[in-house]
Amino acid sequence: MMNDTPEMVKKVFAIFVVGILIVGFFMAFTQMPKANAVNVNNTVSRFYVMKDVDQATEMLDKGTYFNKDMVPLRNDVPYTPITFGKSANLEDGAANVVTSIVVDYRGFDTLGEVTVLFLAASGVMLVLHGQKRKIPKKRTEPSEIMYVGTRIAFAVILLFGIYVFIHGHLTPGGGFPGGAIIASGILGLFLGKQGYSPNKSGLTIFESLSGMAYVVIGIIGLIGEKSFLANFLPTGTIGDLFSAGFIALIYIAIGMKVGSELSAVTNAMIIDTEDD
Amino acid sequence: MLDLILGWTGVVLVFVGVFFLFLGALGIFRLPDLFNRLQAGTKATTLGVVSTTIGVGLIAKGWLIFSLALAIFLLMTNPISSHALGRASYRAGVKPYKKTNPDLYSEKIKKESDQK
Repeated sequence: MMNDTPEMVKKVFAIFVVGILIVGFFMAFTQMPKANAVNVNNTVSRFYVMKDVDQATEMLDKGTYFNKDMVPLRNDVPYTPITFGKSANLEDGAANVVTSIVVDYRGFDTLGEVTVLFLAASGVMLVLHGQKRKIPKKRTEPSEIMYVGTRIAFAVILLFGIYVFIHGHLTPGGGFPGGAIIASGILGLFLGKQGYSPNKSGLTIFESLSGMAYVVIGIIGLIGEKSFLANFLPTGTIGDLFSAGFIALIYIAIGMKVGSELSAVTNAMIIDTEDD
Repeated sequence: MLDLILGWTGVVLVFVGVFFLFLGALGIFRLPDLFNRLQAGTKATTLGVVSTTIGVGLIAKGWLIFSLALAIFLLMTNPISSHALGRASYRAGVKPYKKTNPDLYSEKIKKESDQK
């Protein structure tokens, strides 16, 4: 399809894309903050990290809010301990603090991590592509028990993987472990039937779309909140499924990307060894 | 009263599970060949782990539904994986212990190869 388009159109399109990138790069310099102009205490709230789970943490919370003489350290924010299921409209609103750091405050860093994984998968594909290895001719089909069992287990594993990355802002886990769980389910399907192969182009399309979704969410933040990957959705009540803004959306994108990527790597490793 | 009975049933189940887990570990240490060890390492531990998880679910009732889901998943996958391991190692040429008698699976494999 790409070979049919004329050379001129391709060149114009490439110049257009490069021009947009250069303009965006230089526009970033106009937005640079001055040194000491931003008070970090106002942007990252120290109250967020403390949670009012029981009496001890409440004391701890008071310890960060008041100094030794019980004089409030901050006058701009009233003292309100954060409670699960009650506190609403917090700065981030994720019950899992690690997730709120990884996806919200350091979302750009996580975009880089996803890129690293993508590069690693591309490297595996590049090395293994077209490799032919000798395999013994005496081979046996997997038994009927494996065939049926892996198919039933795959449904359960897929469900669990989806659960892990949808609840990333509430429970331990998130997009990366969820995607790895889904890929392990697909590995089970490989064990269950000789010559099984997932839809390769489907996996690639899925991976690209979810990777693009991440960047598109970031650009929506850039338009709405004037910062790349800013949280543009309401944060809701802490501990609810629909809370913490866009963290769940980004983890769905990451989970689908990691799952399809690792499945494609497994596919490359197994299929290439079966070529005679 | 019901809570007390359920809690103590849970404790007994956990103890039964731990006992079978211990027997499984002992079997892996003591039994002579792969197939016997596979039996100790999967049959005994399946019962042990399932009994332990259900016991924990009875002690802490908020976790009962999770522990039941875990137990069902283990009951589904553990026998399949042990079956695959045993079949693959037999087909790859691991010989059973010399006192294993009769060896019906070897006759079946011979019949299959005769048909080909």
